[in-house]
Formats: sequence, C-alpha cells, structure tokens
Amino acid sequence: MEISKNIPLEVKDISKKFCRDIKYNLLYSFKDVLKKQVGISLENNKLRHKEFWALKNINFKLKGGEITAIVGMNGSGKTTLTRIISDIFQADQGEVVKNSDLKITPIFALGAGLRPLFTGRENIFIKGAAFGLNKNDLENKIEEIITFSELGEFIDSPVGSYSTGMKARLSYSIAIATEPDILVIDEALTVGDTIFRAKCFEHINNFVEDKNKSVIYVSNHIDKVLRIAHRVLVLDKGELIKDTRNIKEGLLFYLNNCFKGPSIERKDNLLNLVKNWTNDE
Amino acid sequence: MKQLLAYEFFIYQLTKVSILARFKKTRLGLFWMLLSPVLTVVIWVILHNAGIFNPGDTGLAYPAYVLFSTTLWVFFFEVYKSVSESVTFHSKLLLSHPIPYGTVVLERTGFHLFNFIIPLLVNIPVILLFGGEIGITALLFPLALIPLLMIGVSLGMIVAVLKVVAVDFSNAMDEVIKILKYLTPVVYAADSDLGFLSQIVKWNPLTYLLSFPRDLMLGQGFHHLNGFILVSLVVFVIFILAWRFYSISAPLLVERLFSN
Repeated sequence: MEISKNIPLEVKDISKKFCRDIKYNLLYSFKDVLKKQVGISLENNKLRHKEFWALKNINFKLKGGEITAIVGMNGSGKTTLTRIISDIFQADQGEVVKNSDLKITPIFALGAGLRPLFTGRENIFIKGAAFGLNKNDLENKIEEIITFSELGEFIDSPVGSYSTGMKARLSYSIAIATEPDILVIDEALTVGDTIFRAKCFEHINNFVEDKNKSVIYVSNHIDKVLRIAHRVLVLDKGELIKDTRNIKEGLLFYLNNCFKGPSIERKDNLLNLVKNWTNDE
Repeated sequence: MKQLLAYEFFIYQLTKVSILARFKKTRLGLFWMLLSPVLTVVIWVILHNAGIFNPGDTGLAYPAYVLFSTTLWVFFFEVYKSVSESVTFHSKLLLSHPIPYGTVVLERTGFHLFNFIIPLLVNIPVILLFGGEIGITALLFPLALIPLLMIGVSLGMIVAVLKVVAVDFSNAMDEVIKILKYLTPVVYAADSDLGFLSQIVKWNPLTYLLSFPRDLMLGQGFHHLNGFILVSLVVFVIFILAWRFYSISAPLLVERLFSN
C-alpha cells in the first residue's frame, strides 16, 4: 500500500493479546516458541484460557504536522500500542503500514539505556548508538545535544549523580538528535523540571510545523494534553473508543467513561479543568 | 544480518561500556582477572605433588598443562554463561529501543573475548616457565579456537531463551556442562586410559574442540585433525540453527515476560 506524505503511518486492525497468569503465560510462551520453530502458525485470532486482548482491532491513520495524544487508564494498552508502532513488539494481528525508511524514535522510561557509571557525555554515545546513530553522526551532533540539554558542566559528571530531571534532559536531547519523522513520547515528559518540560513542549510544537513530521504523545496528564495535542485517542481495555480532533470533547469523554481516579473530587477537578480550558492558557 | 551491520557502532559501544564498567567499580580490576588463573595453577600444583592424579602423558609439565586446559575450558564455559544472559541482562534496553536481538549476543561475546585475553596471557609465561614450548603452530591457535567459541555462543543463545521460559531446562544445561568438564580432557591427557569413560571422552565433541587448539598452542602437532574438522562442521550447523532459534524466540519472550 502507498503511504502518502501527509499520512506517514497507518495502524491497521492491530490486535495483541497477553496472558495475566504467570503459569499459563510460561506454558503458552513455551508452546509458541516450539510452534514457531517448526513453522506452525500461531492461532493469534482467538484467546486461550486466561488470555486477554491488550489491544483489539485498533485502526487509525497518523497525520503529519500533528501531535496525537493517547490517553487511557493504566493497563488500557497505551504502551503496548506505542511499542508496536515503534517496532519493538510484533502485533498478533494487523499491521503498521509505513514506508521502510520512516524513522521512528521512541522515548520510553527516561532512565532506560543510560548507564549510571558513565558521564553524560559518554552516555550520549551509548544511548545515541542504541537509537541507531553512528560515531560520525554523534560527533557532529554532540554539541547540539549538550546545548539543548542545558546540562552545562554536569555533562561530564556520572549520570548516576543526576536527578530525574537531569536524566530527562539528557534522554530527550539525545532522542531528538536522531532527527526522527515520528517522535513517540510515552509518559517520558511527566517527570523533570517545569522549565525544561516547557522547552520540550515548545520543541514538539515546532517539530510538527513540518507537515511531514508527527508526534505521538502518551500521557494521563490532562492539562498537558490540553496544552499541546491536536488530536486525542482514547484507549479503554485495549479498544480505541474515541478518536477526535476536538480535544475538550475527547478528554471529557475519557474522564466520564474511563477515568477512575483516587477520589470523586479529583475527577470533578479534572472535568472542570477541561470545561474551563481556553486555548490561550 | 544486514540489520546487524547497521548497529555495528552500537555493538561496539555496548561492549566497551560493559568492559569499562567492570573496571570502574573496582580499584583492583586487573588483579581480580589475574587472581583466578593464578590460583588455579597453585591448586593444581599442590594436588599434583600430593599424587592424587595420574594424568597420563600430557607432554608438558602438568601444572602448565592443567592451567592452559582449564583456561580453554573456562573460555568455553564463560562464553556460554555470558551469552545465556543476553536477554535477561538487556531486557530493559530491548524493551525501549528497536534494536535487533543479535546485537546483545554479539555484545556478550565481545565482552567475553576481552575478558579472556588476560587469562590467556598469564598462560604464556607459565608454559615457558614449566619448560613448555610455544611452537609456530601457535599462530593457528586463534583460528582453531573459533569452533569452541561458536559452540559456546550457540548453547548460550539456546539457554538465553530457555532461561526465560523453562528455568529447569537451563539449570539442567548448566549442570550437564559442568559434568562434561570431567568427561573432556581438561585435567588429564586426551589419550589417558580411563576405562569405560574413555569411550565417552572419545565421543565427546568437546574433546576435539579443546584438544586441537591446545596441541597447536603447545606445538604438539595436528592430533585429531579429522575429528576436529568433522566436529567443527557440525558446530557450524548447530550455530546457524541456534541463531535461528534465538532470533525467532527471544523477541516473543521479551514481549510476554519482561514487559511489565
């Protein structure tokens, strides 16, 4: 299938199942490993005992020049979906249609891929390489990365001595140096200091001014989604139950139908936040 | 394979980091690497002098022979151990970056090869000190070691997968390999008379993979050449199959068993 320039990626009927019970999980995994070895296709279209759909028939087309937020409660399948899009997981059914040269850079848990015993500078080479950059790329970009991170002289201190916010700065700066077509940010910007976070949001906004670039932003932070998203996808128990460019409507739908907060007040507060939101905030 | 080449720099970086990390945490890094081979010599000299073993004709002073053989055995065992940790050791990395799974096997192998250099170098003065010779055939030694490396990597890849999903299998494999040590001419010569065990030693493929490079290093000629070539070919096939097994299975297991 041809993918047009403005639709860099299409998620087509993706399903993925998992097993919650550890004993069955081991048993099924063992069986499936054997089956795959001898070339027997796995029966991916139905559930076995104790299995559940982590994702079920997900369809959407990512649009260039947009920030697409994915919201959903814990266990709704957000991270599974972003991992499939980022080529880390295989879907059981369906496919992610994209051009083979499309560069997707995922930012998951910020510490991942950073080595505490090594300095920030050394870590740029370690994590950068994990993103597929080679030595030359990194040597050319290292100053840019350090500048964006604003870590100053701390760049030569071991990452083990960094605060969470500093790790976030470093990780984010390395990730954007990969010059991706699609940036996938999974809960990664929920930590760290406000100033840097604001800088990241500004960066993402500028990033999608290029109509060929796109951002997938996974978060449960309602105010951040309100601030930056152009489109909201609501996931609930593995199903895509809302896909809208009316951010307020999407978030109200999410809060009313899926949200289970620690208290009623919290939910009411969030509902009010969304209702009273104006775009110049 | 092509995909792996694109990650050449990553493999290099990851290996470098593992090696350096080992030295960063300890002030005596090099000392620990030397300690184990030297202790092995001391223990075997004591045991030998006490007359516990009649090792057969080893063609070289016994302690040097044992040290060198043990080094080769450890080379095999450690690469197996090291590669068998590929998935568990790197699961976080594999869950957050779209990297080919082969990269972590190559990193574990590279890390292991580096660790092997020092024990190997310790051997050379010991061999010379005990009146051994390092012949011209020693130049072929690194090449002759490749099949032993490949079987270690192959078993490691298989266990890397089994470790996740069938712990009992991987534990059993560890034990089998430990027992194999005594059925491989490590502490005795390849043609020692061991009664009925001699047959097992003869049919044990590791006998050839270990003895052949050892003989080359010690300038003892090309013993068991046919056995070595035959076993090496089989090892090559096993390696391809193990690589396939690992590439197909490891991603599936990481998804299902490490993702939370």
